[in-house]
Amino acid sequence: MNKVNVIKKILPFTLILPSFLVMLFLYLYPFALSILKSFMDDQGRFTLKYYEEAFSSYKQDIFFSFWISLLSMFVSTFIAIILAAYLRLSNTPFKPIINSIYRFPLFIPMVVVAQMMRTFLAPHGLLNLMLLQMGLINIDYPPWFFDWKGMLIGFVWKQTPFMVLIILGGFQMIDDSLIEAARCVGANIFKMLVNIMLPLARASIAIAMILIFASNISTFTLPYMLIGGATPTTITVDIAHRVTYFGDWGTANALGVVSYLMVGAFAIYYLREVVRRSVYVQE
Amino acid sequence: MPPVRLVNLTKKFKEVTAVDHINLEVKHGEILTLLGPSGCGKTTTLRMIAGLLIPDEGEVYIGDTDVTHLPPEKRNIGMVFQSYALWPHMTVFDNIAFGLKLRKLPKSNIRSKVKEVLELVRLEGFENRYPRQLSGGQQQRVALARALVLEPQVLLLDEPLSNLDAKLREEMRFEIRDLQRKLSITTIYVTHDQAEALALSDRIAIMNQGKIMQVGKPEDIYEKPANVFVASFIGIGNFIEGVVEKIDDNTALVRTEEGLMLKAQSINVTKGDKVKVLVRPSHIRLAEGETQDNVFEATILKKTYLGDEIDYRITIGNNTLRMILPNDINFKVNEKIRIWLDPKKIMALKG
Repeated sequence: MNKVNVIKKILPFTLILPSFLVMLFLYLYPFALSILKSFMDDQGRFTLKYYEEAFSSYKQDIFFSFWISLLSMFVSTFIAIILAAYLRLSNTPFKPIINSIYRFPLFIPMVVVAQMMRTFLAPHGLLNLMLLQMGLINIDYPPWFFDWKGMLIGFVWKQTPFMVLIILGGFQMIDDSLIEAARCVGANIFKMLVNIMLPLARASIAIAMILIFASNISTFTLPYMLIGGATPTTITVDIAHRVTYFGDWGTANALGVVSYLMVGAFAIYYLREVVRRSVYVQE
Repeated sequence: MPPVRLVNLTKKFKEVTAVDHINLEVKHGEILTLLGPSGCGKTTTLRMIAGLLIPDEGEVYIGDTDVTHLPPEKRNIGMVFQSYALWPHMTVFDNIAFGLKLRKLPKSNIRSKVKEVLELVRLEGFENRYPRQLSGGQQQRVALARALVLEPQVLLLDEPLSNLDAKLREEMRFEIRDLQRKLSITTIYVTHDQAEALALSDRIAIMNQGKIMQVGKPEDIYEKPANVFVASFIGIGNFIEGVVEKIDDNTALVRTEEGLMLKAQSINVTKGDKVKVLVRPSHIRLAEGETQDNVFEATILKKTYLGDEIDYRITIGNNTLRMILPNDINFKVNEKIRIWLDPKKIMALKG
């Protein structure tokens, strides 16, 4: 191989080098360090004590973080599919209106959402007053929303639009004639959605689910403001407590690794499912 | 009751009237073609019959039911799309079986029906293939099978052959024709290809600017076009402009601007009308003898060798005509010849 060829081979790599370095120092290095630190005691020796602490004190919170993130993700997915299908298929005059207002929560930071939820879901907040008007509750013993229920409402409110964006993109890749052909052989809208649109947009839906699950499980502000230190709360709140009140970076790192693992396992499972079932996409 | 009846059917897209008060009856077991240039409203008409578009005015009847406002899934129609529209995530079997499964037929019944229809389109043994593993022609046959397996009251085909190469297209024409005959299924076929329309239709409806110009058998459309648009759209046509001087029985005497007198069949014209006389290349003969009507002196302007035939451009007065003769008669450019236009064949049409 002569010199010119060598340069030609190396040149493309030099072009991605700056972004690779930024990734390495700002993302991969701290990421690896947090994993490493979770296995090291003060003297730098290998230890599992942080994990023992994490699982003994926070087992319930780990479990809670997982299932509330998962539940919110499923509810968001369900609503997002219906909304995206409506936006893909409808021609009614309401469509442009819905098309512009559904994105609204995208531009509101999670901390503001949390603040809104605090007033909306408060014991004498808007939701309970509405329920009172409908005669569904006794306001002297108002239902309590500052637990998983509030988290669910907050997550779904904030995350559904982002899922609609991704899933609608998937729906828009489907040719009209594939949808029309299903109608012509006798499928109503629901049957067509289930048998044609959902399988064909499977990849977009799976990606949206993974992103939202990862985003839910790493959210701090919403559980911090709604639940705070009450039990059960989420891993993110525990990490903050560990660091701010105890200066205990080891256990905080161990809890962080647990949440990486949950997101990672979920993502791998889902992506493999998608690849396994969508052989037809290749070629 | 005719299987399909369109009454005053109209569709507007914003300011454009795509389909303009169409009335049409399709007969039982026939294959009727909607033929016209792009944008003439033929596909819009078909989509309204399918229920994929809702008309602004008028009604669609399938059998004796008014289906104008029924969704496609309630119309008992079979539709074949230009892009085939096979579902890529389903095998050939699943594509064809989908409609049967929706009708909740027992499994064994579904299997035998799919097998039967695959034999019909000559694709036995392809059940487990995915659409991407099939050629264009095979995909088209699967699309046809998917529509036929439901035994619809009407089969609708939207330019089904236009994505195939020329040779396959010609083969499939006859295949569709034979299949349609065999099943005697009422069929509406949309195309912009006149050769396709002539080859496979029982009747053709010629459309232009959202209106039906003429409905008739292929030979009627070709030999007795209702107007200049139909004449120019189907086949090769030369037109000589003039004014009707006199009408005798069905023969019109037409005088051109430079004073030539032509005898032609009169089609819906009256004395004094401005007309265009349709002269097909095959209507132009070399003149023999002296005393006949419609004999003119012509000059060879240009010639193109086409193999068995030679395609000439000739001039008569101010008119340039296309004439096609067998290659054993070979004229030179600028040669003067005498031609005869058969008065029983050439037609005076309203301009």
